[in-house]
This record gives sequence, structure tokens and C-alpha cells, in this order.
Amino acid sequence: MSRSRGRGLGTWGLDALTYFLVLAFISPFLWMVLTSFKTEVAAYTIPPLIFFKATLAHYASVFASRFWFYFQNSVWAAVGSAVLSVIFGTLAGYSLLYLSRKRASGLLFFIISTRFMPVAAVVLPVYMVLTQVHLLDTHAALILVYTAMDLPIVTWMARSYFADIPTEIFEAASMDGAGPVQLISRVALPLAGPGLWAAGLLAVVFSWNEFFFAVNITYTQAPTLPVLVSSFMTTQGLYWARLSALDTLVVVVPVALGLIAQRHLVRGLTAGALR
Amino acid sequence: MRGLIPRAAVDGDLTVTRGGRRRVETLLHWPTTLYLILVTQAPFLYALWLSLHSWNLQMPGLGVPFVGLENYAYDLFQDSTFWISILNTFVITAGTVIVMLILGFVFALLLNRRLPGRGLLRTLLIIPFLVTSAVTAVLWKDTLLNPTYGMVNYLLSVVGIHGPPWLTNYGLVSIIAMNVWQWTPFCFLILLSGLQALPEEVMEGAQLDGAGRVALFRHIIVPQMVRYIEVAVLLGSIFVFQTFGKIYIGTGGGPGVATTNLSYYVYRVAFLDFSVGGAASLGVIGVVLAFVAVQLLFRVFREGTAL
Amino acid sequence: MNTRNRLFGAGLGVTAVVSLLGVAAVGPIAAAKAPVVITVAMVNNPQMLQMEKLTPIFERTHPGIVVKYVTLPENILRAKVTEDVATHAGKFDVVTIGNYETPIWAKNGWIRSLKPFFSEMTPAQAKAYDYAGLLKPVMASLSYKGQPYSLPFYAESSLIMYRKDLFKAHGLTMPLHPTWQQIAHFAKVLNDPKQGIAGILLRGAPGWGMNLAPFDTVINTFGGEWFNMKWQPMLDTPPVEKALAFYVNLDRKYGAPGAANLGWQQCLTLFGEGKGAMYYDATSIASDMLIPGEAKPSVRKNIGFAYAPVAVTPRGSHWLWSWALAMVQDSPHPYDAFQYLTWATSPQYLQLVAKKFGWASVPPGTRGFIYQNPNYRKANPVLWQITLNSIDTADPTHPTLHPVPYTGIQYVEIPQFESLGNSVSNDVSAAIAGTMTVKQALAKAAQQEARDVSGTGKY
Repeated sequence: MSRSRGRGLGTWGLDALTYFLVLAFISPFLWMVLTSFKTEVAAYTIPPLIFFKATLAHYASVFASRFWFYFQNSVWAAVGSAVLSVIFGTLAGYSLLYLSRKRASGLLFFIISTRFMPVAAVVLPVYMVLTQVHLLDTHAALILVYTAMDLPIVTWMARSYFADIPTEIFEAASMDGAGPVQLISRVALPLAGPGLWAAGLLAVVFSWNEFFFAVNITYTQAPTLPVLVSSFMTTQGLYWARLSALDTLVVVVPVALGLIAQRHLVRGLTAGALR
Repeated sequence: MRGLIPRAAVDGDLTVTRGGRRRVETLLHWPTTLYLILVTQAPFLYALWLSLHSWNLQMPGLGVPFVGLENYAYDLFQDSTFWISILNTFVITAGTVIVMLILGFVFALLLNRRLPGRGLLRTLLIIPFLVTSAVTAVLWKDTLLNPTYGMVNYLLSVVGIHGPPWLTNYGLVSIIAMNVWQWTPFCFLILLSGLQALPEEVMEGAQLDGAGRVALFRHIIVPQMVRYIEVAVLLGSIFVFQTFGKIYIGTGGGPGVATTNLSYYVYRVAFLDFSVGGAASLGVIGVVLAFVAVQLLFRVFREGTAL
Repeated sequence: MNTRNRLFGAGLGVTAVVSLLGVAAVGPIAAAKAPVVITVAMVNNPQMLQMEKLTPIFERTHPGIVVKYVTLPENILRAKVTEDVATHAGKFDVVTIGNYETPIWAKNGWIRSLKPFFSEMTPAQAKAYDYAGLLKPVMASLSYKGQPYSLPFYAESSLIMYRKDLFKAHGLTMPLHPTWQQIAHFAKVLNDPKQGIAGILLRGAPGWGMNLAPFDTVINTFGGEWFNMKWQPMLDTPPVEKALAFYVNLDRKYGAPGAANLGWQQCLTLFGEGKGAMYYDATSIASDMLIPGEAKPSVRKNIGFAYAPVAVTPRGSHWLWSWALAMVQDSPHPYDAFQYLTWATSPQYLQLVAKKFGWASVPPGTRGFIYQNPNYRKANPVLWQITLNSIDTADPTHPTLHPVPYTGIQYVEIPQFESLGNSVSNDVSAAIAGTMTVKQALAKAAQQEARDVSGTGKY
């Protein structure tokens, strides 16, 4: 292997360009984190300040505002819905392989189509049903709704991981006398495992970030972090620095999860074809 | 070309056992199917029922009379905002998807190369995708696009350009920019895994001279990647079609209705005008349109894809 | 402490409160129950957030009641609260609404009349609460058929703020009662885009609570109206056209960049940062400006106030708005809710705020006595008088030059206005952005009016 010898000037130029483009692309995020350590006055100063005396005051004020209560609710809603949607979605994705082509495609289309409804149009019906069954303002309500929102994506992803497994492997296992349970637990799940993790983490991220249902179906018991963001949003003027601190804290979890699962995410999301 | 992809299990190959019996696996989708019917179709049917009624939350005295297709007739034939919102939905979706494909491809190509710190860069690049979209909207509205304090106009002023108030003068462009920021990493992930699935020799060839590289890109890489592009377009469209938070926080659908898409319009009719029936009819139309659009996308897709 | 003792303790506490307040009806029932949770829907305005901080004091003096807040921005809150009361979900006990909603919601049977509760007060309680001390025009707008349905937490009219230093530098003087023509002239002279200073800051963002509030007062004072006595649309008539042309012109030529997208929050920030020479908005926002730390010191030092500008008629030239607390009809704890209501809107509460946060932070516009207080006057120089007079002279029952069939200055007191107002405010915002001409915007607005009130329209 003599790859390293091939690194000429052009390659270094491309490397530098890559670094520049990536950093430029995520600069809004970096800027947000930076702003969260500024004083409010510094946050508004033009030209923008890169160097300044950092303060943790905004983080202190965010933590003083029942941040952890909202945080807990977010964890409940996101993890609960992710677990449910991975269980259901895995079964469904696996099942799709065994259906006739026509049925499978019809079913998958139905499952995905449930994501098309503009959310605002179903919020009120959902709200009224939840009122009837006394689930308004509970973790269960959020889990119920988010599972429905995550299932299409999880099913889609799960199906494609299973489809990646060469038929021969299933056939060989069957020949060895593996029943349906062994096929899924010994063959399908281990091979598709990393992908399913990625699907679950993606479900956590989507549920964590959901705002519209959260604000409509929760009151004082189960509101999640995006609701807290919105309640910070339009108070007197714009407290950019404080808002940035809250924003930073809110996105820590999805970003961290995304980064942990990064390798699986890179492998994930596609409709097969990846070894 | 298909041959490069490992032969995978394809729907239906396994429907029956060797003995010709229906396999129990065919039943495993039912929890999901039933769940989705219960949690999404029931409200949808309710919305369908509502769309045939006139119900203004603010005027309970009027009751909830049956009005037939009046709501739909109003949307389609009398309401100019409806058509504008359809057009805006299309522009936002198409604009976002096209730009995110281009950017996503560029990043995928750059980061599929060997370079020091590649893992770190890939990691950093997916951050925007993970950021709560309400936060994205606030971040762009306040710290980037604000005409007085925003970073964008500051950077423009450094090179002597007087930047416009983006959100009012270029509302749709601003919304698309926010969307692109969020969804490019998603697209990048998909396309990157496509590139990684290409055989080593193809990528080795990419180290060749300029002309060879272009030819390679056009004749080998792109055709190979079509399937991945399709997935990116499909999933991207489904998410972007629903764009709401960025409009809600960024522009409030304005100025006028310049940035009102269907999702935002449904919200406006439901939660600012409190016309439940009107919003329901818009929602139903939205579902129908999305159905047609996705059917068309599927039709364009080749058989190799999921559907 | 064992259970029995704790119960006894709680019972003792409630009994003490009951005997103290003489609310006999709750006595025997409440004594046996766990603390009652009162859920309050609250707008995230600074004054309200202050109340959240002071609530532990209420809970200490009212053992047995726990208050929980749902704090949201205005638009989201309005939607959520309407959804809750209209579907009788009954999750809120107390809601924050305005004087637009109060009569309509009272008519809908969504909120309770407070009259029975007031009549059950003991003389001592009545004296302490001093219902008569609430400003008359404010209470009039929060009543329906002569009965109070909500109690004002703070109230406001509108006025013009300006920068004395900039006026002086340009040799200009702001009259106490300016006309819109004068304002236009000042804006032209003071507008200085190079220094990043707008001649005038005006709300341009869509929403009937956004740009329509100031713009409606301009319609009124230019002699225009929304409907004539036959409920015919009047938004496409010459006075309104003149008003919109004026407003749009002023904001396009001398307003801040991106004017069509600015709400009061952004305007407030811009003015506080010294980016505007004049700012037409609520008197309560003017009060905020005087709270130390809200505006840059150089701005706060130089801020001047004048009455809302007029054109053809003083009628309807300044608005009347109040954020008020109402009791939801479906609330299972009306007596506890009433205690909370009368705490948050009491004279004692205002004094409590003054003590804890200073006189500049006292919620304005609800009670006359604060305006007699020398400390309050000192904390709000000139402003106190303009606020009081403007609220006193704001007359929602005669908002326009010509007689109209509706009440309301910066809104039209009909349920359809929610939708109509939003639609028209969108057109106004489009006109400010320049994507629609004034004529187009008003033609569309008048069409919408006709459809909304004719009863043949959809909404």
C-alpha cells in the first residue's frame, strides 16, 4: 500500500478546503455555544466579539428555572417512544421480508404515509381523544404520539437492514433446523443490530426535538425541553445569551447521542446495499 | 451495475416455507400496523369528519353544523392563500432538497477521502441535523439573519456589502437556508454510505487525473449512487414537506403570506383563526397531495428501492 | 410526623385560613382534602414572570393551595387556552386573557362571573381588596353585562417614546401632544441609517396583537373604521387608505431594517440598544424601559415620553389593553382560584412588588393609588401621568370618528376578529414589506371583512 506517497499539494489543498467548509457549515452552532458564555451586552456587540470574559451566569439561571424537571420529561418521552418504536418497527421491518412483494410495498407505503399528515391538522383531534381518556399532560400521551411519529422511519430503516442480509444465510439457517424464533434472534437481529441501534437513536433525537405536540398536549406534569425553550423565547426583548445557554443544554443530549452513534448513523438510513 | 450490490433478501422471496405454508413471520407487522391505524388513522378519520363540518372554536353558539364539501370548495376555489401556500410548500421542498443534495454530495466526496481528523470532521458535520429545529430557527433568526445584529450582514459589511433584511426581503430563501442547514448532514450521511459501498477500485481510480476523475464521476459514481440519492430525496421530502417551526419562529408566514406553506397555513387556520373545519379540510388536502407526490417519486424510483 | 398529625396540621392550616378569610363555603370540604393545585396559564411577559417569583409568598399565606404555571409566549398561549376551554378539557383553573377575549368568553360560558364571589367577601376582605380602586375604564372593558369576568393584572394604553438627546442634537422639540404629521417630519430628520438609527420604530410583524394594535389607532385617528353601522366593510375607504399609506410610508422610509418582521419584542430591544429615535408602542413597554438594566444606560437616561400622536380626531388614537386573570368555568376549585385572583390583583400585591423589585417594576395601569404615590411618580417621571390620562381617556365604546356598531379600539369586539384581524395584519405586513401595494392590501382586507361578517363565509 503506497497511498501515503500520493498525497501531493493538491491533496493538502483539498484537505484544507474540507476543514474550512465543515467548520464554516457548523459555525452557527459554534457561535451559539460561544454566545452562551457571553454577557447579554457582549452578545449584541457589533462587530461580534470572539474574545471576551466568559460567564457561567446564564447556565446558572437556566438551571435555576426547573431545567431538570423538563429534562426528565424529555428523557421519558424520548426513550419511551424510541423503545416502543424500535420493538414494533423491528418486527414490522422483519415481517415485510416475508410478505409478497405487492403486499409488502402496499404496507410500507401505508406505514410511511402516516407521516404525511400536517401535524397541525391532527393536533386537535388527538387532543380531544387524549382528554376523553384522561391522558392529557402525561408521559404516556407523549410516548403514544411520538411512537406513532417514529415508527415509519424505524420500520423503514429496519426493513432495509434486514433486506441487506443475503437470503442464503436465512436459507442455510433454515436447513440447519432453525425455527422462526431462532432465525430472528440468532440470524436477523445480530446482523442488523447496529442498524437498529441507529434507528433507535434517531427516534430519540426526533422525539427529543418535537415541539408542536409537546406544547399542545402538556401542561404542568409532562412538558419537555422544547416547551421550555419556547417559554424563554419571547420574554422582554431578546435575551440571546441566556437563550443560547438553554439551547446549548437542550441540544447536548441529541448531539451527544448522535456522536456516540455516529458510525451507526453513517451506516444507517439507507435502503440497503451497504456491507 | 446491480451486480456490484450483494444479493439481498427481497420482499416476497421468503413468503412461504419450503413446505408451502404461510410463515408466521408474515404476522409480525401487525403490532405496527394496528398501532398506526389506531393512533394516526383514527384522528385522521376524525379530521375527515371535521372537514365536512363548520366549527369555529370561538363561536360555540353556532354549533358544529354539517356543511358538506363547502370547506374544500372554499380552499380550492375561493382562497388565494391556499394556492400560494401550495406553491410555497413546493418551492421550499424542492429548493431544500436540491441544495441539500448538492452540498451533501460535496461533503460526502470530500469526507470519503483519507485525511487526518476525518472521523472528527464527519462527527462535527452531523451536528446541525441533531439540533432541535426550534433552536435552529431561533439561532438563524436572531444571531445570523437579524438585519441589525446578525452575523451574515456583519460579514457582508466587512466586504463592503450592505446586507438586506433577509427574512422580510428573501423570506423563502431564508427558510430554505435554515432547512438546508438542518438536512444537509442527513443527506451527507446517506450519500457517504453510498460512496463507502462503492468497491475500493472505483475510489482508487478517483485519485487519477482531472479528466479521468470527471469521467469516473459521471459514468461510474453517479449511476452507482442513484439509489442513495433516491432515498435521500424521498426521506428528505417527507420531512421538509412538513416544515413548520422555522416558519413559525422565523417569519410567522410573512411578510403577507410570502412564506406560508401548507403546514403553517393549517396551523394558522386552526390555532389563530380557530376554524377547526377549515383546518381539517386543509390537512386532508395536504395528505392527498403528499400521497400523490410520494407516489410519483416512487414511480420515478427504480424497482431496486424499497417499493 | 405521622399521617394523623399531618392531616391535623393541614386541617388546622386550612381552618385558620378559612376563619381568617371567612370563606365559609370551603371550610368543611377543604379541610379534609390534600392541597388544591391551581393551574394558571400565563403569558411570559416580565410582569407575569415576576408574579411567578412572588407566588411562594401566596402559598405561604394560603396553605392548602399550590399554584402551578404554564408559561408560554402570547400566541401559543392563546391557542392553547382556547383549545382547553372550548373543548372543556378543564386543565386550567385560571387563565390570562385580554379585554378582547373577556366579553366573548363570558358570553360563551367559558369563564365565570366574579360577582357572586365578590358579594361573598367579608367587609374586611372587601376593604382590603378595594374593588372600587381598580381603574374604571379597565374594569369596564373586563366586564360583560355589568358583571366583572376577569381582573386586571396590568393595563396599558399607547404612547410615543423618543430620545431627548437626539432631538436636542437636531434642534427639535417633541410636543406633549404631537400629531402624526409632526412625527413623520421628526422621523425624516432623525433617520440615520449610517449610524444604524431608525427614525421611528413601529411594529410590522403579522398578528392582530402585533402590527394591528398600533395601526388600528392610526386608522381611528385618521378618521377611518372597520365597519359602518350596517356592518359593511370600510377598510377600503379613503381614510383607511390614507392611514395605511401613511403607516407604510413611515415605516418603509424611516423604520428599522426588516420592519415588516418586527414585533414589539424586537422593537423594544432595538430601542433599548439605541437603534431608534422614536418608538410608538404600549405604555407598559415604556415602563419596562425604565427598569434598570432593561435599556442601555445612555438610552434610559435620555428617554422622553409624549401622548399617542393624533391626526384628524383624538378618538381611538391610543389603545386600551389589559392582561387580566379569569376563572375557567370548568375549574373544580373556584374558591381557591378566586383567592389567587384577588391576591394577584390586590393593592397589597402591587406594594409587595414595589418592596421586592422597586417601584419601576410595579405592574402599571390597574389601580389609581399607585399614581398618587410619590415613589411611583419618581420612578416613572412624566410616564405615570401619560399612562393614567391615556387609560382614562381611552374609550372602547366610541373608538372612531363616525359611529360604528362595534366596540374596541385596537380590535373589533366580535369573535370573527381573531381570524379577520390576523388576515388583515398579514396584508399590512405585506404592504410594509412592499410585496403588496396599499390598495391591493386593503382591497383584500375588505373582501375578507365582507366574507367574515356576512355569515356566508366559511369562518
